[in-house]
Amino acid sequence: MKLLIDEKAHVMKSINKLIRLSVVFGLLGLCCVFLFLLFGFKAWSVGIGIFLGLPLLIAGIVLYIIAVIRDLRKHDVIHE
Amino acid sequence: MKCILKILIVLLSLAATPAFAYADEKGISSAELIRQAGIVAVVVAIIGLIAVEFFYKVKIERSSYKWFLFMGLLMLPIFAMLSAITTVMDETKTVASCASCHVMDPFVHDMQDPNSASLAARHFKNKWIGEDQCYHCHTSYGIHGTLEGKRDGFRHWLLFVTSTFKEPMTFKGSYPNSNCISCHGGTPKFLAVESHRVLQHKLTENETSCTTCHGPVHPTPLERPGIKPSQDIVEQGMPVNAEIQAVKIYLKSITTVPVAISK
Repeated sequence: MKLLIDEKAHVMKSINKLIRLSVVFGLLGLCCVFLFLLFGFKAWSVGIGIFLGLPLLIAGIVLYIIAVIRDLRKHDVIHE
Repeated sequence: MKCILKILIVLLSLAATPAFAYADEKGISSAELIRQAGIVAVVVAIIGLIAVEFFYKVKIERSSYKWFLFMGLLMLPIFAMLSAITTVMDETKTVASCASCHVMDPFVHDMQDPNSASLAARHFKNKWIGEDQCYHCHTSYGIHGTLEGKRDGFRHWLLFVTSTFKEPMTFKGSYPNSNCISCHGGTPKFLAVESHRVLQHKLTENETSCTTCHGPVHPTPLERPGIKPSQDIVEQGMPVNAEIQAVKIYLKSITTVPVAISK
């Protein structure tokens, strides 16, 4: 029983870590995209907004999806 | 009461102003609308994520927290990405986007110069192409052309930001005649020119380029202000276009009608 609780706590901790990481990636990506949308097409803004911002956003979204899947597994909504 | 009456008079007088008295406004484009909506989505997502993750995480219910994350980490970022992609796809068509890299200045300035006789300048001043002139001529038609245009744009951006481009700038790719013929081909003015009829097959097969006779398209390296031409060009001058000579000889051999060359 104690092992099960420990395992659940460990999973919860890893989910929280993933969420925090995805929030950081998401925020960085959103800031980069914001600069591009605000300043329009410039050599530097395309570099920051498109070639840096979009991969960061995608990484954030992927991490969030992984976290959601783990959370659903933890709650036995989806099974392996 | 008097104040309301005054406001009403002002509003009615504005409404009575004929339409032609207003400045010509194009209205907002769908791409611009998506860009503005994207800015709003990004701002909302940034504020929401910071507030929820760093300040209110323990103060709000777990279900509300999850809903905020769903919006801030999935829905709004996806919309922001779509907005950014739409903006970049739309803005790369504009002349301003080409001019945003200063190496393009001589070409854009020449095109917008009313005294220039280059092919690009004639298209611009006569409004033969209404807007996005660079994109219209330098992109082949269809999705294939659009993809090629984006690929070339990325290559140009990379060369610019890494400062690995070489002066004087030269056009490396091939220029299909279909880019010109899709607008000019089949028009009475086009068909009235004898050389067009004579060279029809060669033009269709891209064996002869339209720009051979109708150039120069852009200023040559020696004509570009602020550009230092290479030592070869300084010493030997601009290379003679062998294709121009070949076309002239070919036309002379098959027809006695004088070749009309657009000035």
